[in-house]
Amino acid sequence: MLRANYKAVVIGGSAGSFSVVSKMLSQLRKDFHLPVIICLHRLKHVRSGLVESIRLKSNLEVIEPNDKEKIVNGKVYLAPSNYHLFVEYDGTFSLSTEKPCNHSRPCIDHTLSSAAYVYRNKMIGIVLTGANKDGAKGMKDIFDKGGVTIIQDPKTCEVDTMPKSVARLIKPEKTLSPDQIVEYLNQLA
Amino acid sequence: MAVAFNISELRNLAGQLTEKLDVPFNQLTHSFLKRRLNEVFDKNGWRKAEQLIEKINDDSFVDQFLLSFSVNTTELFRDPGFWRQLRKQIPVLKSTGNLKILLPDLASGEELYSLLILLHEIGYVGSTTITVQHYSNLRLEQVKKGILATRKMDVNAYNYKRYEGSNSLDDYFVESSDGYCFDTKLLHNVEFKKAGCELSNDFEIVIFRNTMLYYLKDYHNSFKESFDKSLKPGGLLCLGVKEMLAEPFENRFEAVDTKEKIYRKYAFLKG
Repeated sequence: MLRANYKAVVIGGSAGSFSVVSKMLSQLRKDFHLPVIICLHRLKHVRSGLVESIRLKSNLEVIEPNDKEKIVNGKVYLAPSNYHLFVEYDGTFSLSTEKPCNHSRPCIDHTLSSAAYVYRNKMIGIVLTGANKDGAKGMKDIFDKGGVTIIQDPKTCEVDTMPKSVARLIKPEKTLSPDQIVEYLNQLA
Repeated sequence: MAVAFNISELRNLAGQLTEKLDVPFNQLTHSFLKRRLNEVFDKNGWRKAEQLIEKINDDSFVDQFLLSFSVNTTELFRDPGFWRQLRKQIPVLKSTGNLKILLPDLASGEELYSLLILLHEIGYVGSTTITVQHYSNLRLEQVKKGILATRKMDVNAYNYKRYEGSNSLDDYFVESSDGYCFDTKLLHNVEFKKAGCELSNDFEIVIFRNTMLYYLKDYHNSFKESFDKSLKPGGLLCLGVKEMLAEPFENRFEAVDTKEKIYRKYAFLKG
């Protein structure tokens, strides 16, 4: 059916999301065939460390993309510290040092919204645990374009503000625990 | 409610702006162009592309418009590791002052002020000439007055501490009618030029960090070619930490620091 048509998975998370992402990437199939684009709120002055820690457990290659880097299937991309990360129509990333949005750079809304405009209904947007409302507007854009919207089940969140803010704007297609999210993604491949 | 331009409308508008203003709007990345135009249209309450085009012969509007396209939110000493490396490299490049440095398309004063503080602390500021360019005169005027784009002094102070500067950051700032501003005493060897004008080819350092981000990849080479032309053999090209020099410049530059993205034009190259 639709499955073969998806082009990307885009994930946003904040407080408490590092361990969730780390665990999810350790459980994703080794032959997972979509790009996984992740935007996490992170300490802006700590440039290294996060990608290295996520790499430790991941089944897929994890990259902090350079500007204009091509988006490749089966790779995991992590928004670099102190830059916004956008998806472009030509299948590349572009970075930006524009002002923080929702007090964050990288800002999850920016990544999700730009992906929504490029991938439209061919993407899966996921918002995980977090302590602010960043990501809600981006999820609404994905929703409006007909993409799949998933929030982490608030009951399983360290801080549930972020997924709940999404649910206030739209009715997410799925509300899942981290294990269920992985299960869902793995059956796409 | 934001105006929802589609791709072809955006391309069309960018084409017209490029032609009328002689500024390469058609080379900006799609997401950036869309974001910035939406902001301008929202601010003015416009709904149609024609409303912008109508204003385009008004010089003061155009300058303000160009200003709204510049990204003005860098920090002082953004990426302290880069500035530490540059501080190390400058005396290697030249044992005395008389340096010529180019900052093309300077989006905000912060890069310039960081550079001036660096030069001051290593005793080079009096004998270094810095050329700064931007499309918007308004932006150049702000930079001349020492105005900071963002007043995040806590971030700036933290960066400066990590840079391991020899003074206190406050030593470089004064209270003025424009607020807490960079002390313009250090600006006397800085020349301000409108972007796009002819430049000499004897610069020793070009600093162009985080501006190519907003341009399409195919256009990056024309920036790099122009820096290659402006730099003396042996001179340094500094890019943002997430930008790449890449082909076909590998046989004209060597990497000094691959993490901080500092490159040296091969000394044996002519011009």
